Amino acid sequence: MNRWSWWLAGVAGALGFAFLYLALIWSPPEQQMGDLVRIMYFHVASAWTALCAFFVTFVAALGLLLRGGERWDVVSACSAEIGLVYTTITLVTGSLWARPIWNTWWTWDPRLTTTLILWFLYAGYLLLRATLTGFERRAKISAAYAIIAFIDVPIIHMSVTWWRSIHPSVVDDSGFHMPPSMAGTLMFGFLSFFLLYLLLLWLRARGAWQKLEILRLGQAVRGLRLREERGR
Amino acid sequence: MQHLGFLWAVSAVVWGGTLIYVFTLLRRQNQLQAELERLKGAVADWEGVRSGGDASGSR
Repeated sequence: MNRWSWWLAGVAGALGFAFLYLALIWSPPEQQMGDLVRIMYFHVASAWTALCAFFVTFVAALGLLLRGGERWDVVSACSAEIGLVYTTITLVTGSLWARPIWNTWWTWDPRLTTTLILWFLYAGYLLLRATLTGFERRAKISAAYAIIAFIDVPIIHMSVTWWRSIHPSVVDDSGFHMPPSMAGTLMFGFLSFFLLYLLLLWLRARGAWQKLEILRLGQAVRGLRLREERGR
Repeated sequence: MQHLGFLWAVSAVVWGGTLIYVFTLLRRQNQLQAELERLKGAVADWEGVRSGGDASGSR
């Protein structure tokens, strides 16, 4: 890791601890949910970060199809993987919130169902990438898939409006449905999660870049050996 | 504070999950770096052998 990434890691870590303090101690309990509202800060922040990650995947996939180049493919794939991690966190924290509030770990509510579909869509994206061969072929097919998979993101956002949903809506066009202290904590949480996402994206993209370099060097070594054998 | 167990579980999932992912990334990166160094070494050795061979051949 270079100096900038250590700085980013330090800032993300400090913000993470400050967020823990704000979410678990400083913010007030809600009138009906009590202290369980604190789960919402982690759940919503991770959900927003996942959607941002999939948006980056979508933009990078578009960039690859329009302009071409390895960088777009690396960013698209790495962001999708991190988005999948955050979607998993969203689903698990949502389930932990639902158990005491709705008295069930899971219900086939439109928002929950569309989020689960999102998880399967991007798990499928990563599986598809693992099975395809040929760099350009893999990049183009997975970019087309990523663009189609992103259609689920606006559907998740609109699901509470389009269908009858019991999922609470914390933000809509009229603003936050909560007092400023809670909205501030939520935004702080989102900021710290987003910084962490940037750090993870940098780390993951570096690894993917190293893998590409290994492939190139491996090809070069094989070529050199072949030339050597022919020379004998 | 009520429902402390659920709050602990959420904190553990969020930070535990993130830390596990970070450590997995770092471990994978270290393995890739080692592989990269090995390949670079192999290319450098081959070039060294070749330039040595060329030099002796020209004499």
